[in-house]
Amino acid sequence: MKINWLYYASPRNFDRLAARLVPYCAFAAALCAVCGLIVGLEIAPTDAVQGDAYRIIFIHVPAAWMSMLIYLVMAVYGLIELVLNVRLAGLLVRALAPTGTLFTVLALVSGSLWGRPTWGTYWVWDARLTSELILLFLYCGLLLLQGAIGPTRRGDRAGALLVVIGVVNIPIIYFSVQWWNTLHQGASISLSRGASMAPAMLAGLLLMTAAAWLYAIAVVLARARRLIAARREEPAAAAQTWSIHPIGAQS
Amino acid sequence: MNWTLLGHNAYVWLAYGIGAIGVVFELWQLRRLAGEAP
Repeated sequence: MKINWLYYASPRNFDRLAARLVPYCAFAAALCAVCGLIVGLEIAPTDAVQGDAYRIIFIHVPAAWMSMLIYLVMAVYGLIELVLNVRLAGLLVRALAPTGTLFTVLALVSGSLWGRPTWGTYWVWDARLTSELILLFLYCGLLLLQGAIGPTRRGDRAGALLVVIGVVNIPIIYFSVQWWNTLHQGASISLSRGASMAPAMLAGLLLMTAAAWLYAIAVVLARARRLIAARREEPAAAAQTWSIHPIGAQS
Repeated sequence: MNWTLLGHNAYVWLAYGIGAIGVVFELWQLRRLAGEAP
């Protein structure tokens, strides 16, 4: 089956596709979350060292993965917006930002609550924690920038620029546990080495990750539909464009 | 799992509780946005 991507670059066609996908993704997310919570909180065995405190992993790891993945996806859309001037790409950056912020907050808060019983502290200025906190600042900066400029193409392009510049932080977060001596543990799941945990724990983690993915897709598509509808209502205000000009040049 | 709310389990419940609040807040925001959009 060949997908015509340009067809879905049109907000109107994308809106129709999103309308069909949202209910399926929302239902699948709820199903995965219920199964993931049953496996994670009931079926998975208690950890020999951490006891039941380790069960925070089922919310912390999916949230942390999603915080980075959503930023990466935003950066791709941001680049498409800046280079190809695709209207939908800017809207999708706007639609992704609040969900990415939520996952980053959840990753930081759940990590902090996991750190207290296992490390003896809620927070350390560790490379992984600090770089994740910088990611939260980037998300907050993006939301504030878009809010300050308003729902216009100018706001879309300014946000896209910030996202593309900030993407340098993502490899820093991911590789921080390898590059520096950190209190934060290394990856528990690796494509090359497999998983270093019991199968039931891994199943719970994968189910909760699937739930987080599907939830994010459903919520982002639903938000994108609202934004498309709002733009359709006020096309003149939204059409205000923005580009980088040399100092002193007429804009 | 030992379902007590005491000891280290309190951190687990707090983490999941905050997660649930976050999801409900985002869905509420989305609903509010739907009210504003035509």
